[in-house]
Amino acid sequence: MTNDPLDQLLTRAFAAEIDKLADPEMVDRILCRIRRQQRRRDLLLSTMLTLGLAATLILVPFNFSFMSLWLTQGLDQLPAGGWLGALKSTAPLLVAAVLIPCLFAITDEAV
Amino acid sequence: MTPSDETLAFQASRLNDHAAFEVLVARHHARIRFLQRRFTRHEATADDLCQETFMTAWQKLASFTGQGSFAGWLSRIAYTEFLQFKRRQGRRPLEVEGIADAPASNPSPDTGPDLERLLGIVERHEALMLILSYGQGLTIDEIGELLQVPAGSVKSKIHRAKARIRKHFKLAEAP
Repeated sequence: MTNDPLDQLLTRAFAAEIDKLADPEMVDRILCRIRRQQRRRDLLLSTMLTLGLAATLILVPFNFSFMSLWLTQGLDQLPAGGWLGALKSTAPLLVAAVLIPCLFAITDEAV
Repeated sequence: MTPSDETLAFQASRLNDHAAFEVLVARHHARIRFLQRRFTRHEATADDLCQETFMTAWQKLASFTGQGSFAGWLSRIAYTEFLQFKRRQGRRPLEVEGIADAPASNPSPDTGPDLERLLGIVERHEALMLILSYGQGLTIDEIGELLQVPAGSVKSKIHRAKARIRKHFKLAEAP
């Protein structure tokens, strides 16, 4: 604070008005909202992680066997469907890999 | 020793420390509530915007770099929340109406003129500068950055407002 009486007057006047608005209940309300939001985000994150993990666990062995077949027997021995079949088999994993983080980001923003 | 706002902000951000943020809310909520009441002139709306300000601050805490004060950073969020509210209302965002329109109360002989009387005699934009400077504790540069006006303009508006108050209440200049 400076020596200027007007600076002191203004600082005092503002401080007096601001002090009147202190409200512990408002602090509690704000913190409650933050904790609620945090819980929602945590729940969302764990759900998405579970979904992603489940998708990976289901699809990876499937793709792994397909890849082994492809590598051991060569391109000529691709299972029925050829490239299209190969694409189809990897598509769910790719879709899951792209969609799950997108879905999380969108929902997280909304929360 | 009491930790500074900036230390608490980093603690809250990096360690996800709710207790540190609680101290910041306790320290600043009255100031932000005051600012939103001045902006909106509506108690319930101001309280909502005050809560929104802290919600946004919590979400964006990682973006607080420590350049400038935490108070300034928080006031910027409060002002943005207010502008967004005005946009949602479909009114011109910079119309900070009624910022100095409160009815003047009787001055107290012991403490001098109260805030409403002090702000009642200056222009709206000057009142806003005084609120941000003396009420929110922002520096001239922070006010300029917040309102997107040159620092020189902020300085001259504050100077003019103070000259008006000095003249009106016949207050002496600083020795």
